[in-house]
Amino acid sequence: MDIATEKKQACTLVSVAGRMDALTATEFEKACQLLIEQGERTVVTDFSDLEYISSAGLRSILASAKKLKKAGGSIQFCGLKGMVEEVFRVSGFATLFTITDTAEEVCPK
Amino acid sequence: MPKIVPIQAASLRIPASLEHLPQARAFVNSRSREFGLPAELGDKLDLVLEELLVNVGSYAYPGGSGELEIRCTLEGIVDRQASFFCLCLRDWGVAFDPLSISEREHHDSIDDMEVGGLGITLIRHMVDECTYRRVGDMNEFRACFVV
Repeated sequence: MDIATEKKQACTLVSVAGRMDALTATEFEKACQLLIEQGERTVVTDFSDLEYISSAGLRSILASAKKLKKAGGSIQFCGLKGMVEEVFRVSGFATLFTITDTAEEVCPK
Repeated sequence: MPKIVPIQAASLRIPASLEHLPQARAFVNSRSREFGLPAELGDKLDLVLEELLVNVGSYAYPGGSGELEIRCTLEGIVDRQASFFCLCLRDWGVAFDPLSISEREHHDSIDDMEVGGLGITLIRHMVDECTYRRVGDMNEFRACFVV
């Protein structure tokens, strides 16, 4: 799994590619924790290149979302497709979070 | 109840721990190709295998170690133009029926959302049929997909 972060004017864009499974999911949580420590509060996560996610990935997302909320921030998602979109829908995450097709819709600059 | 006839089978026995997930995944993917399963089934198989293996690795042998057997079978369903690909996981640890966990409720707030039970929710959704049984000192979970 590869994680890239990009500081924009209105948010921090976190692009995740590859597989978020029981072996890799904590990397996402660590990346979010680092952003919180750096003072970032508006996180938009781009899953366009995420091919696979399991419940371990969902747990990392939920843990990160709770930490961000506690710090007064929020996390949103974009670019969900295929099995990732299906897993979000089945788990109830699709209604729990704001999800858009592209990052530009919520974080244009 | 339809009559089931075995067509092909293969099994792998590994230590029940998360670090063996790549080995388990490679085994199931190879059998999937060998049995001629459609590629679209790949992610579902991966997901169900991971959820089951993580479950056994985390809870079956508390404070110790033990084995896990993964068995892949292709079974014909007589009188139906279909077959079942079944993933069967066996362990010899603490008795636990994952299907005893009720379906998760969907929440509107992340504060109310809990982390437990996500795995079995995903398994239930991905498979066409799943069963659990305790046989002697063995847990057996079968997850089947119509091919």
